[in-house]
Amino acid sequence: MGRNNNNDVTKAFEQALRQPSAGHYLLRLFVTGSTPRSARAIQNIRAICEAKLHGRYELEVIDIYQNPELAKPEHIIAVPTLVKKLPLPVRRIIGDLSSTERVLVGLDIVPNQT
Amino acid sequence: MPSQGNHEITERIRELEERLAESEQTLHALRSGEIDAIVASGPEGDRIYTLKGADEAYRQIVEEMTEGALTLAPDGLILFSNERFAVLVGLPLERVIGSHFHDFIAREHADVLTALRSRVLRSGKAEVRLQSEERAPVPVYLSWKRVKQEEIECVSVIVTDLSEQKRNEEIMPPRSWRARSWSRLRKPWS
Repeated sequence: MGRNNNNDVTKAFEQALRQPSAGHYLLRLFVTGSTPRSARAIQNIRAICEAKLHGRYELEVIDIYQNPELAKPEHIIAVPTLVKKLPLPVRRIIGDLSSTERVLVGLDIVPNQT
Repeated sequence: MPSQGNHEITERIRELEERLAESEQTLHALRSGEIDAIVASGPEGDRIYTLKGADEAYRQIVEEMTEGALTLAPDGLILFSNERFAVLVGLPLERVIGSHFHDFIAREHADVLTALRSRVLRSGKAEVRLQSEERAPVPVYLSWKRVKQEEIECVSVIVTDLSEQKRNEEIMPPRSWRARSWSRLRKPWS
C-alpha cells in the first residue's frame, strides 16, 4: 500500500513538473532608483500584468542601487530589464516596456507572428 | 549537399562567429565596468548617458536616511522606496516597489489617500497607521509633495515612525510631549 501511495505521489509530482506553474508567472524587474525609464517600466509592467495576468503573477521590482547582490546572478547589463523566471523558459526584455506587443510576445502571452 | 553549399555555410558560420565575438566583447566591456558612458540614438540625434552621475550623493542620503522615503505615481503605485519604508511594513524591498501605497494604509485613512492623489493640493501631511500582513500597525507621520521628474508627474513622500513618540505619550503628560514631538517632526516641506 505504501508503495502504491509513493507511486501516486511520484506521478502527481511528475505531472506537476510537466506543468510547473499552471500559468503562474514569476517576474523580476530590475530598475535603478526612480529614474524616468525605470519608473515607466514599473508602470507599464503593472498595467500589462493587471490586464493580462490578473491574479496569477508575482512581480518583484529590484532596485539595483540598493540591492546590487540580487542583480549579479541574473547578469544584468542594462536597466530596466524584465526577467521572466516562470513559466520556463527564462526570458528577458530590456527597455521601458512601453511596447505592450513586444512584452506580450517576450512573456509568451501571445505567440510571435514574425 | 554540394561542396559549394558546404563552403557557403562554413563562410556564413565564420561571419556569424565574428559578429558574435564582437557582441560578446561589447557586453563584456559593459558588464565589467570598462565604460563611462553609453551613446544612444534618438530622433533628436545622439544622446550621451553617463553611468556615474552627480546625483549619487543625493541618492545615498535618501537610501540611508532614518525616515521612509517613497516616490509614487499619481495613482499611488510605488516607483521608489528606500529600505527604511520596507522595514516599517515588514516586507523585502523588492515586494514593496511596484505595489500600491494604499495597500499599506489602514482603511480609516481613505481621506488621506484621496488628498495624496489630488492634483489640486500640491503638498500635505497627515498622521496615519501603516498596516501590513507581516507586522502590527505602525503609527507614522506622512509628509508629501507633488513633483515632476523629467516628464513624469509623481508624489514624493517622507514617512516618519511615531511608535516611540506614541509610547512616550502614554507615559508623559501630553503637553510636554507635544512640545518635543513637533520640534522633532519639522520637515523641509511643512
